[in-house]
Amino acid sequence: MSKEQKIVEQKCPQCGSPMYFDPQKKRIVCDHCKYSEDIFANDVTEVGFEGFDFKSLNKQATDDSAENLPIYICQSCGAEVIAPPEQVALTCPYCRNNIVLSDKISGKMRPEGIIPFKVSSEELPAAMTEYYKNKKLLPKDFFSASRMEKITGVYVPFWIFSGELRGSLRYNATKTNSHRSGDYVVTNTDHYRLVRDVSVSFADLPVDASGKIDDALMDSLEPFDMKEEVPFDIRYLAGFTADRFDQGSVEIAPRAIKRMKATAEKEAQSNAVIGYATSKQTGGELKANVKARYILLPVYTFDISHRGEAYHFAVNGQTGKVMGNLPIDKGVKAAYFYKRAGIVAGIMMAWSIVKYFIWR
Amino acid sequence: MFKKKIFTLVLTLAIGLTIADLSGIAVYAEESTADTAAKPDWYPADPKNFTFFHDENAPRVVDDADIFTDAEEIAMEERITELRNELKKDIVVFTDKSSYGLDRSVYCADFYDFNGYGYGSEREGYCLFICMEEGNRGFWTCSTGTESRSIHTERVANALDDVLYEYMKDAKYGEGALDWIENIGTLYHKGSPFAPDWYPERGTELKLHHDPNVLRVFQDYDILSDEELDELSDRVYAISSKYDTDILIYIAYCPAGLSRDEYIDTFYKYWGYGFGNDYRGVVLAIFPLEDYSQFDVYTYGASDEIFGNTGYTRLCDHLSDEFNDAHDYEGAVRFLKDLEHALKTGRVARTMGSWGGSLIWALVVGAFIGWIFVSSAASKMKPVHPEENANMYMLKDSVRIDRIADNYVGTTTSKKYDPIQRSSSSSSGGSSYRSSYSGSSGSSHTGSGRSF
Repeated sequence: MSKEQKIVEQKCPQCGSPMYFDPQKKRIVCDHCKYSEDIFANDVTEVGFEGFDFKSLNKQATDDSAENLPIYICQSCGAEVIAPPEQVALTCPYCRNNIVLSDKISGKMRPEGIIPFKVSSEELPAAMTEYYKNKKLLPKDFFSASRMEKITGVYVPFWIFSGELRGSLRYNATKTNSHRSGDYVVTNTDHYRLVRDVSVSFADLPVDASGKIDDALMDSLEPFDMKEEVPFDIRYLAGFTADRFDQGSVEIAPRAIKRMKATAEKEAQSNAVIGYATSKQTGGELKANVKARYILLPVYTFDISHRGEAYHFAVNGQTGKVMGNLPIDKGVKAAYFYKRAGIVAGIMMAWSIVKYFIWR
Repeated sequence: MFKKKIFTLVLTLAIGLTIADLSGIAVYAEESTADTAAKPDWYPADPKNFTFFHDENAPRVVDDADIFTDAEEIAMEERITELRNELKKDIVVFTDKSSYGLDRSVYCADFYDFNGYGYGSEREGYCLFICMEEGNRGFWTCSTGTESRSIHTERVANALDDVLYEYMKDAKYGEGALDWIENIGTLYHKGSPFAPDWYPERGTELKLHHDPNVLRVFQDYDILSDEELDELSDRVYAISSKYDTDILIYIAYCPAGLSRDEYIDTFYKYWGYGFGNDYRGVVLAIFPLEDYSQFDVYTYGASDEIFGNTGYTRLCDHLSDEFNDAHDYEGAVRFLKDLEHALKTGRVARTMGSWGGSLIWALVVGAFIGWIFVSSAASKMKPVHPEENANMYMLKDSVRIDRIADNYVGTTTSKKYDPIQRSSSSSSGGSSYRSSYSGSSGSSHTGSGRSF
């Protein structure tokens, strides 16, 4: 028998229907009676603040035995709902009630902040249209609103890294001068070894903390405007799916530090060797002193099926930026190529003919 | 031990000084030999302050080396006298068994300067010196005076030397000298030592006239066969008649000393080419060389408008294909074809190959541009990529770089051969040409010569 967990359900105080967070109005609204309230109007009583054992959760997550999966009882209809270990908010598949699993986001699991959705799901077709507008090699029949499948607004867990990289870098550098001696050009190259102390600071570098989401896809949705981050409140989760991290900050940190290092070394390369003709980094090390905080960022995900293949897309729920790889139609590609090649060749031949008649 | 060392040191010094002394004596002896070597009687004691004079009666053939026969000497003197009277320029031939330690060029100039040769204040004239000294056998031609030196160009000098050398190497000294005298005479008369007989005198004003009977296809060399000559002539006459424009195809030998433009222009005018009052016509001049031919196209009168710049360039490109392989007949045929087309349409036709080349080039460029467009469009189709850097998250004013050390390690040096372009004067087969040099008196001459 699976263990029952603690849940929070946002109910309309007027009619008792489920409420959800409306990104357009930035309020909690009731779909039934249209009642709405500011998200900070009432404190939410979170049922249970049990601490969460990450290790056992991981073990639980990898244990595919059904009796070990967490089961939740929907307060509206009484249905038993199974949620993956990392999922912290979901919709009851029977009565569409919005359920937030508060104990999964309490204590150490509680996000420090959240950027609420600003883009509503109704805006997605238009965003998608804008996205593929200039994609010349797309199959003509690729996109239509009705083909967007499994549209899900999900709060994706991210670690936000801030801190400093500091260290010492070494370079081999040269200076050159040339002069002529008879029929020879003589070049003298002076070689140097340089040592530079470098420090660079970074702020708000996001790295997604969910193993089930494609990292490259999440990277491509950047940037998120961190100025719109607000303190976490579970009421923002109403109406959306939410996941909590399944990769800790320590596990994720190397990805963030790698990106920071790339920027720091490039910055150092361009500034540290001014006055030298050539330079090449030969050694040294930058050490990171970074901190991470855990927040949820808004992302829509959906699939488009085309000719038997599923194409995954994501939309930045704050900025509306769409990302996803598109298929290339071979016929369209060939036509695109021949048309342009033909136009250029045609213009060149026409010019040849004009030149022949005009210029004697 | 110490005494032994001192003795060794002194001995070494003594030997060294002795060797140095002996070398000095040898150098001194050599210089003294040069300075005090016996000079010929005509040589002045103070060459630098010599007063020049003119001796009308001095012999113009002085054979101190005794290499000419009496008959040859007489023939040379007679011919030189005729030329001196015609030209009022001096011509001297001088042979000797030695140059008395002097360079042949200087000795030649000195003989001319110190023996009363030369006409006018500038002592105009030419001198040929043949040196029969063992180990120093050779000849030198020097010219004196502004006019004589101006026509003594490097090309003329090389041509004279080439011809004279053939005589000298076969010991035909008298024949060679006589031929040289004739060539100098022609040089003075016509500006080239090998100008043909018909070539007018220098400075002659040619009057344009029209001679319908002169050959329109003409060659100085035996390159075209009779059939080819006839075929070309027929075509030339047909095109000339149809378009009222004279045409000349001339496989020419351009004598040394004359520019091609000058020679062809003189040929055109002297022999009476050109139609109408403006003597309009087109000339294809072909100059055969060893493995290929060079060519020039000339237009006269209204024919100047036949080819525009583009057409002229295109014509030269077409002709180069043939003449680079010394296909003179084919080149002439090609010339007539393009000329006829230009007379008919106003432009030189492009070949099918040329159009094909343009088409291929257009397709290649089109394909390349098309590929660029496709690549750019394709890159937009797969935009998902992991971020490699954190540029967006770097705090701009947070970058701090401190110079800790700049340690000099060493210097490497590399050399690249990049010769400076210098103007070079090519000389034929070992000839040395000097556009200006001085004799012992300090007077200036031009000269060239060769060893044999």
